[in-house]
Amino acid sequence: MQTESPNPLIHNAPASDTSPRVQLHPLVLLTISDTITRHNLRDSEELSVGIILGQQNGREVTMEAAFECKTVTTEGTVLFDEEYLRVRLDHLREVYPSPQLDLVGWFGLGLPSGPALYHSVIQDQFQHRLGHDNALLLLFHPTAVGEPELAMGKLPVSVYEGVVINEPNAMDVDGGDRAKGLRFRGLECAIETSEAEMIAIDFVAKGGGNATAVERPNEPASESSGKGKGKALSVDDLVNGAEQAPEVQLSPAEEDLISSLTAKLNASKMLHQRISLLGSYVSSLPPSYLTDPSLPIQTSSDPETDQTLPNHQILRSISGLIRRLPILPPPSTVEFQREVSEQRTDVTLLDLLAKVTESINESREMGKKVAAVEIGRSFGRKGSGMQGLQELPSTAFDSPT
Amino acid sequence: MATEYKQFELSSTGDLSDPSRDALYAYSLPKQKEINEARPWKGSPKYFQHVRISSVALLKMVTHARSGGNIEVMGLMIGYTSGNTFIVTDAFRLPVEGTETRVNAGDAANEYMVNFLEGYRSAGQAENAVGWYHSHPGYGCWLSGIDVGTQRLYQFSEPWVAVVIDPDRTVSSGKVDIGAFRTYPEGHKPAQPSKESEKSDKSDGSTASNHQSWSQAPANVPKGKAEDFGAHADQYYPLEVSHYKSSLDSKLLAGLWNKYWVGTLSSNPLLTNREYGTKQIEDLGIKVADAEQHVFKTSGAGLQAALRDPPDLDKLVKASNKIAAEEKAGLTAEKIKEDIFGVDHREP
Repeated sequence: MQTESPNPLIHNAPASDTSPRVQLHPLVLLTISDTITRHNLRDSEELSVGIILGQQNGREVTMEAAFECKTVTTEGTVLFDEEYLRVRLDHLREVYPSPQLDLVGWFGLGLPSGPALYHSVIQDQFQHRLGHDNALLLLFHPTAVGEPELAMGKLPVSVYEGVVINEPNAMDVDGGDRAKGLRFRGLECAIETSEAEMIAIDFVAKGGGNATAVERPNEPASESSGKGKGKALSVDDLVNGAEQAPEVQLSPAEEDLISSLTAKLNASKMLHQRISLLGSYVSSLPPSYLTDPSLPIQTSSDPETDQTLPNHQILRSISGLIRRLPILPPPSTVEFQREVSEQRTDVTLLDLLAKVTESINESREMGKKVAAVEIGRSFGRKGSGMQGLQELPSTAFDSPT
Repeated sequence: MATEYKQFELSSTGDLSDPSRDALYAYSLPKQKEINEARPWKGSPKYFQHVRISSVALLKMVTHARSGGNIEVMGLMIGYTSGNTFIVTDAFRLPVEGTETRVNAGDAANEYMVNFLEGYRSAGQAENAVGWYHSHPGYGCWLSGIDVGTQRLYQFSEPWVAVVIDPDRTVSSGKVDIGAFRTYPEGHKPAQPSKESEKSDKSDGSTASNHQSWSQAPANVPKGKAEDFGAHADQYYPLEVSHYKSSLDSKLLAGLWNKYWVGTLSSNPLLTNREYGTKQIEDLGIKVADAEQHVFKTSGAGLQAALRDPPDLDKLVKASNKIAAEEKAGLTAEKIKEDIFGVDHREP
């Protein structure tokens, strides 16, 4: 996430050992997205800024939830509304008790090149006026959303921590000037999801996609009247839900199976893609001058051949990855194998039991039908062979359960 | 500097959303007032039929429900109504500590609710609260007697909807288990369900009724809850739940998929849900024992007895099939993992 632009506010020194590592939860991203969309649609005067809640454990910082906040503009400077922020934060602390979440930073919009001066004023507000020394800045880059990198997994966000540079003239002065001594240092940021969160994201990512696509043409018309929208939605729901496979009616269990298999398929495809990407990268490298001393040492990319200049960092990571592979299998194969087969047996047993239950029910149904027939028959020829028949069904068909 | 910031936002975010495609994110206060004054839902107890939940609200609710563990948690949803549909735009937590079987909002929660909503409003989210959500960890989405009471109380200040999330089943099935309900007014006799419950055999003392029109709820209601479930099932009706996301959301989600696909491959539902699975089987065992008792009692009572089923045989089959399907899905996940990453174990 390091930017190499000459943004004067970026502190380019490498992240120190004490710099936090950030784990970003998708909920924060979606909250920012929600804030932006809402502001756009409602022509809001508010800025899309807010606070981020999370936990700090030593160097690890998690960003788990985000909430929009109010700003005030005084003398041309945008700052968070401190009173609002305090009340809001107290409220939020109350409902995130275990694990206790607290303010870890704030979010705003900005260019991929880094924060601007107006960001540093707010950062200064957090670090000095509000006493959140470790507050981080999560910068969302609206301009990067259209970029193809997003589809490749590069999210349009970067995280910064504030560093105060002790410049001579930045000492012992009031807030406005102190902000000038504030620099931002880019931090590494990884996506982290809890299991339930992942499922919810998956759910949202898949299902809603169809719904929105079908629904759109109807929507402009439906905006005119409240009722119309409801109708448009029900059409859309029909298309989305019941009509998924018009010819074959799938049971919910089958739908579940299909969706879980599709998820696995997509993930495997992704894995395959990544591995082939590595493969094609390695094969595009020139022959090594280490193994063949006759080759010249290349220091720059040769545009005439299709070969790329080896990037040693990438190569090292690849080699590290390959080296790690052999230690993946469990140390005791026998035991692991036993566990696996135990689990398999358990599942199969369950399946068998389910099938047995099912057949019991079916034979019970069968029994009921036979009994009904028998009753009818015994009423039909009253007195003739009734005694024998009456005993038979109850004993024969009750026993399976 | 302030204007500069606003300028930047306006110029950079403008094309991120599409006024017609993201229409649900718009909100008009006068229009809502109009709707609230017209009260179109007044005449018919089943006026509302759909709930649409925004991606961010859904995510908040699911993570909240999951964070509660075995304890029921509760929160509020804000949004608006449009025709016969609730549009839920956001959700927030309430400081309510439920127990394992119930959740109820006290005065403190009400005060919190008012204050928190005020916070939303002053930051520009003008929507009203339109409903409440709570979790049913492990026993499916339906309303208990207390829930019915709560919903009825709130439903006086229409429009109001109840959403129930089962975090345990969400994780075990890999799909968000969610339901939305509204209660009938007191004394109201739902027309269509009663027909069905006549059909179902009530004489055998079973309190579980069969008239649920949503598919997942009836099969796996635990034994301890069955009575509560059945006793109130005719006092509310389910709404169809769907969700929506903005165009910016979909772009971000596509990007996110690139980050979390690893989790899809590496997770092991059999292990993470072992406890839940055991609970399910245990519960099924109790129900089977009940059914067996029933059969023993009635057997030998002659031909007529054969016609009378043990109460929940169909449901037992459904429940056991469901458990088996979930377990099998877990096994499949493991098999796939083994096939991709595993070493060949057959070699010594």
